[in-house]
Amino acid sequence: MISRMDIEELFENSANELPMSTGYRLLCEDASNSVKENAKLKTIANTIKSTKLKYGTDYKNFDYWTKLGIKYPLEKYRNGIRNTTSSVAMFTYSTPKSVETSANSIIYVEIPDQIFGNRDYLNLTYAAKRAHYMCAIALLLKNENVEFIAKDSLYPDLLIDNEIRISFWNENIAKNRRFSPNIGNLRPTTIYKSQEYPEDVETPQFNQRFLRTWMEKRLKLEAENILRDKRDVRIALNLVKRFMENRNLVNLSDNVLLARVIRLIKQGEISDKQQILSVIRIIWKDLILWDTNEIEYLEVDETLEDEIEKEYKKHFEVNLVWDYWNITYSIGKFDIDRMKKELIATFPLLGDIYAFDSIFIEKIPIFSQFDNFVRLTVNPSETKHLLSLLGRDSVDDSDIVNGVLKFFIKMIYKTMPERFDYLGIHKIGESELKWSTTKVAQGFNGAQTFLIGFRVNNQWTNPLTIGPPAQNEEAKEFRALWKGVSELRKFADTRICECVVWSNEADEKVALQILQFILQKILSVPGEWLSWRNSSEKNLKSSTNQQQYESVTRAFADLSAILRSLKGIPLMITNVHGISPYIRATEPIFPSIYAAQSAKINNDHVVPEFGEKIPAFTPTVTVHIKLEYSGRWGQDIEAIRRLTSSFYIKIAEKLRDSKLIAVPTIDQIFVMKDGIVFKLVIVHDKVLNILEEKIEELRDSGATRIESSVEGMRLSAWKKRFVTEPLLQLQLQSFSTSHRIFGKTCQIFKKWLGAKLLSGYLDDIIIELLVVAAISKKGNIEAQSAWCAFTQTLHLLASHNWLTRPLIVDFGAKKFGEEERRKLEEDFVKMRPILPPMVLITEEDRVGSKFTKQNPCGIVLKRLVGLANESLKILEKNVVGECAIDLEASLISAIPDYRVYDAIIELETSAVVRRMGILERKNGAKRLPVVEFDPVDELIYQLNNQFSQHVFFFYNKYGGDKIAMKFKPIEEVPAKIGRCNLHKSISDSRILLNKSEIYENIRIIGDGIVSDIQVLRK
Amino acid sequence: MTKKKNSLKRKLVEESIDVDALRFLKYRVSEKYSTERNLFLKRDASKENGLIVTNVPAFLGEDVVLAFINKISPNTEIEDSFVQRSNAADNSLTNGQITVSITFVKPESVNEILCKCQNVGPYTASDFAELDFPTVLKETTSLYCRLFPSEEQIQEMAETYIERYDQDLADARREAKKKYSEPDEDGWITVTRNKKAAKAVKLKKDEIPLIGGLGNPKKRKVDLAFYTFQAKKDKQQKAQELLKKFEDDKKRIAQLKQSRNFKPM
Repeated sequence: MISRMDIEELFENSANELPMSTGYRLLCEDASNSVKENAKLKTIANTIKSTKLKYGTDYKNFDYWTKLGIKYPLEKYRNGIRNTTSSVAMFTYSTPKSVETSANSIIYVEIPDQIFGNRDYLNLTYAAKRAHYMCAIALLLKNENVEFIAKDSLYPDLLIDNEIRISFWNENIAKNRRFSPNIGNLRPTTIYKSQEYPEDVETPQFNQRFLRTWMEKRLKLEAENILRDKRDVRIALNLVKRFMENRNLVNLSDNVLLARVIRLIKQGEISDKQQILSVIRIIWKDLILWDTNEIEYLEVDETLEDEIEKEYKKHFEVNLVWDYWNITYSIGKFDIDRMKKELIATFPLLGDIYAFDSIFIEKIPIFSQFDNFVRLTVNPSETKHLLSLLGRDSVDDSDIVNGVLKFFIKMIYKTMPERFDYLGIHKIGESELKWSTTKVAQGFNGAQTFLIGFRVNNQWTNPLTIGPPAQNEEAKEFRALWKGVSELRKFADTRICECVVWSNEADEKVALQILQFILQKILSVPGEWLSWRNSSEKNLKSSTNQQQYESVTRAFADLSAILRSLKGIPLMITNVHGISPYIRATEPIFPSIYAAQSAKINNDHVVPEFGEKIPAFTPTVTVHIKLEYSGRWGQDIEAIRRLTSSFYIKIAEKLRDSKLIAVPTIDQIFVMKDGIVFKLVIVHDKVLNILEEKIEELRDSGATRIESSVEGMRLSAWKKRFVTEPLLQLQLQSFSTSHRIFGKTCQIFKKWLGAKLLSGYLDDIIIELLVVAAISKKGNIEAQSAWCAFTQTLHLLASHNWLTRPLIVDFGAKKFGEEERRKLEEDFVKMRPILPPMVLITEEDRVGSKFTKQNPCGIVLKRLVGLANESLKILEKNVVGECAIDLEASLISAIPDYRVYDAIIELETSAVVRRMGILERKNGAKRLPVVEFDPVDELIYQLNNQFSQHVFFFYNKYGGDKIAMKFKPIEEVPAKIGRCNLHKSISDSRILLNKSEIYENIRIIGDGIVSDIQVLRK
Repeated sequence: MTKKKNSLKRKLVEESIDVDALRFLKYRVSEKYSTERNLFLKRDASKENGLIVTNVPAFLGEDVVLAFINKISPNTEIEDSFVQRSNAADNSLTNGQITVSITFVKPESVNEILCKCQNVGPYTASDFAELDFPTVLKETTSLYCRLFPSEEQIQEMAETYIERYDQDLADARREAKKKYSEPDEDGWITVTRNKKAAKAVKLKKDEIPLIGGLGNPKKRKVDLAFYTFQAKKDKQQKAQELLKKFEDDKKRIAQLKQSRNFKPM
């Protein structure tokens, strides 16, 4: 799990922890909203305290309340309660022994002692009488908006106006010691008559639930007392609570957190002199260092006898005990593990103003927190055969459900611990049930559904479960666990081990098979309980695809070796950089880098011919090369260009000697290696110098607005193409090697953009940077599956405030410091009016507009955000909803809804050259095929070039056969010469956009590509 | 002349036409592409005999526009015409809708054309000239072929350019040399004096002067507050600065907070 070393390193690194700044304090104080006392609280408390009521009945008579208009809340335990006995059989109401109020709107009512008999702590008597007392109070307050509410169905509370909670207790019923885990207070036969049990079974869960009815109150009131004059601690506590809630750690954020903080105060770790940030750090450290193997106590000098401690350890995974009450009785070890992971990920960010929101404000949806999900529906009616195992400590169905769940998790840890880092469980539906006082409670009985999320590791798809070496004791155990499906296997290192073989190759379904095994073979319950909710990456990483990427990488490695050692050219090649998404596997290969089909053959290369069939798309892999230094290139850019082209000829000649196909052109050289086409471009740093010198000259001559001059634009274009972009690509390259899911995530994202007809609106670099930002978001635990990373990317896209904040992506070697970030953000605010809608800052682009200047415009960005939100809903539904959704079908290959557009340009099938190809790669091809020739891309360019003032064009780059058109809203304008292009006159002073002229122009320029234009809206 | 102008003006007044307004001419491209379109015509404010015709599809070209003008009024004489600009985002004059500027020999022709243009047509462009439609497919195909000249061609292009470049370079050098050695037409010779470059002084360790030193001169703290009111003022100023920093922080936080409520939809 989490090693001691990691933690030590974490705390060591934080020796230079950020100090508390004024800004941070302001943020903290602002974020923690103070609790306002409810005005009604005192009045209601007084009413309860002082009103004398005359109610009385046999405590087994539930219909008594029905006549008075209240439905007895423990109706469903009717049989169980009938089986109980009490020395005080009559329930007679008398005023409470005490009524206390707490600042967070809870009234604690102490039930008077005389209501209980001397052995009422046994079975359900206490619960039954408590419920009677509650009915009386509900009747007293019937003019208020009063409901029943229950976390624990046996001990419901009253809720008024959805705000004030009334809780009932009596601690004189028995000493706390009576509830230690080895004592049985529930006779199983009370509930399950048919089962055979020994009379005295241990009931640890039941005992703890019993204790909670007064210990929770004691904890809350004590905490209130202690924290009353510690404002900063209160704020810190509040913030940590919010953090836990944001990360879906709800079961830890209440009592458990409170108890830990109280414990820290009692131990003297936290004092009221400390600053908020220090307190937060102390809480963080305490939770990270929580040793769940030991029993910990709330009070400093509290201990239990060893015997009893052993009992606690036996029955509970986590023990935080206070006067026999285990505050963590319902918490599993896995909960704590997950919490620790989240805490460790965020610890270094405490104190950083810009990370405050991501820790304490942003809520992370459950479906983006894990890589793989299963939805488990536990149906207690199908667990009759498990009753003898689980029924001892159960009072109803939900106890059985929890028992099964606990067992299931235990088995997961036993059967597949090597496959995942941690898991999380989330109950689907309300955590607390509310119901009207006049109705019977619904929802406690019957099936309950849980979501189990896994953060996987690289073992997840391992087709084998490897056990211990054969012929020892463990092997016997292993065979017993796997019920005979295990077999002996010999491994390469001559070990012979027990093994379970699930599949012949790595497969995502293996984990599902194991889970099904637990359900069907170990628990003997129906396999339908389980529903698989992860999305297959099948189509995205089919074996052929994977091979293609590998062959690209291999071919590139070979080629660069050849290039580096190329002899006989005037200057040696010193640097070879692969600047292409194909090497990083971030581009869905379509239809792959194939050398294929013939058109018109022209010596060593093929050219397309007008009127003939358009050849399928063959992309190229761009490679930038640099030559050794020479001072003889001259000072003229055109001269350098010409000289370089004769260099290309020389290089081509030499490459042909190595049996490669090489075709030089003026500005590049195409080389074919193993059927993959590379585009080599020589990059001269000299050109940059010359361009910069020119700018200097301009500046010296006193020219203004240098940026918009021809030279200025040339320089910035050159810099973008040959400096910024290659540098970013190299960084992305190294990011992709360290994050194996990066490529796949980019592919999904690109296909998604295509499916939403938004291809071309985000620069390829921006697409990849967004994925980087999502994957490496500070304070988040890194996703391990492509779909999870994709979900996070959409979440980032949809939740980032593009209007008021830049997105800062620092993933290079050098990270921005706080000061630098502050400067960047300030500059952003100053420049906001002239910056594009989307601003993405990197080390290479500190203004953040280089790749977003043209696109996306505001409207498209808004649409992008909207579509991302919509898709997130689908992703959520897939995880949380009733049935699994085929994500690939609904998000990526679904036919877009064209109804929102004004017109559709239908394309000739033959012109859509990126359609999924069925071509085989021809390793032995003799000629360079037609490369990078996509008529649809060209058409889109021309359409935008000519009509972008009036129309938006939307298309899917990856084989979409339609282009959608949407006209910009202003169509009728005053007759002015500056605005009359593509318009027609409708009166002397008004002109109207001539749509049919636009359609006709598109038909003319699109001849051969466009087959038809459908006008959807006149 | 004046008489003629007056009569024309009268005529215009009769027809109540504002010659400064935007006028249009209806036309079609061909039988196949028969959508009714408008060319827009306007007097060129910068010269009295100038006419601007805009919203002309680039594939129609200048010639068809001139043919239209000729058809409207066969007797007008055109002095000059050229394509002014295009609405294409890449400013290429062969794409998008272009604007043609026409200069007539006589200024009256402008009014005449503007008067008549709305009453004629619609013309069909293909009747006036053979139209060549530049399709994207055709263009890109031929561009692709042009991208691959033969190696000999590339080499030749390179050589010719470099030769010329070398020649230019040599010429320029000769020119420059001349300037310094031979008198120019006014009989002057440019003389320059080479500046002596200042040598960096490198100090050895023991040469470093003792007092002060070169690196890290420590700031000596001098209590400048001679009077108490000065000290008070300093203190106030410091507080002011702190306050300002605090305000800045507050502003920053406010901005961060504001960015939380982002609901574009």
